[in-house]
Amino acid sequence: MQDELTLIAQAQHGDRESFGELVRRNQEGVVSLVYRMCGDIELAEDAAQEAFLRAWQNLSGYQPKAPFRNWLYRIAANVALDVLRRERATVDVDELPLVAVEDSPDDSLEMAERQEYVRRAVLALPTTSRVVLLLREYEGLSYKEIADVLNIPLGTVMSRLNYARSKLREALAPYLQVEVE
Amino acid sequence: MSGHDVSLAGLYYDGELRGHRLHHFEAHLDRCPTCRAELETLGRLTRLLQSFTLPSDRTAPERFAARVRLRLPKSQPQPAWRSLLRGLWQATPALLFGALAFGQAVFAISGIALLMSGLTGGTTLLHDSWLVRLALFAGAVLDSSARAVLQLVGTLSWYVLLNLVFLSVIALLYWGWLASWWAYRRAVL
Repeated sequence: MQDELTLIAQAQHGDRESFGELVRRNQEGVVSLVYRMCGDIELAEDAAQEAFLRAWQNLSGYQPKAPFRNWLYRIAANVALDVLRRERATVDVDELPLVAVEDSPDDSLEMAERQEYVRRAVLALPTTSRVVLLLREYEGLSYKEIADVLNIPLGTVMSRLNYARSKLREALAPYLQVEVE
Repeated sequence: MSGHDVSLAGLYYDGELRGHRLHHFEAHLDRCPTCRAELETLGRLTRLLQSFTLPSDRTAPERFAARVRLRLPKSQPQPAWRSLLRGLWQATPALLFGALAFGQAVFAISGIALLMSGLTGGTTLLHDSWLVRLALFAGAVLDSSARAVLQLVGTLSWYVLLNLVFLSVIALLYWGWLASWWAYRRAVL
């Protein structure tokens, strides 16, 4: 398996196979980020494809000072924000489609309800705070990396993350208490 | 540390505390049930958030990658000319600064030369300045010293005006570059 830097260098010289491999390796993170931003998987996959196309077009400008994944997150976050601006209707979390939850014998109705509750609580956050929360909680980026990805000051990352968490703690209070018991 | 700074607990939880702040907070944590409870809540919140997963009906990675490849434009990126353009674009502020410094040096040297020439009664100026012509037009009678002063002030005013135009052009180009940089950061990346 070729390492990422080699694939990037080859893709920068127009190798579509290498870029396809980069897409395959990074698609999960990009789709996850965009999906958790907009709450609709079809919309998210379209937006993620758009993000990868932008990445291809601007690949010659990528310099491996920062991780490639973070560079993609920056593009994906901007595409997701553009999508949300265009598709304002999806911001209304009450109109979001219910998601198909994988069934297993252990899955209870209560668990499915909780998942849906969490999803709606996250999607109800303001987009600026949501994207910071997603990059921290789901993608595991440091504050500095988030600041670089979103091109915002470090202090803004902290304040938006604190805000998002405090909102979620309010919204998810019943479930947070349940876990204690 | 005696208070319960929630943001510090958040920083600690996210692994963002370093050095003495980390040691102080860890020491505080040993004797502070409130901060320990705060950390536990943050942990529970993280675990709860993990239930917001991707739906099961999403496209498989291979299929997704194949779709992206199909949508890639036929024309390949052209790193050579793009990197040349990018290099020029990145060098623009330095080039503008160089032009500014050069222009100011030219204006300063020629201005000083003109001033010295005027003060020493030199005859470098072949034509009457606009100020002399204006005074004559207004019917003023000028002796040689008054004429020399008006000549000098009138010519220097042209230099100042030219310099202002030059500075405005440099400023305009710089603001244009800043705007393009901002648009690039915002739209492309």
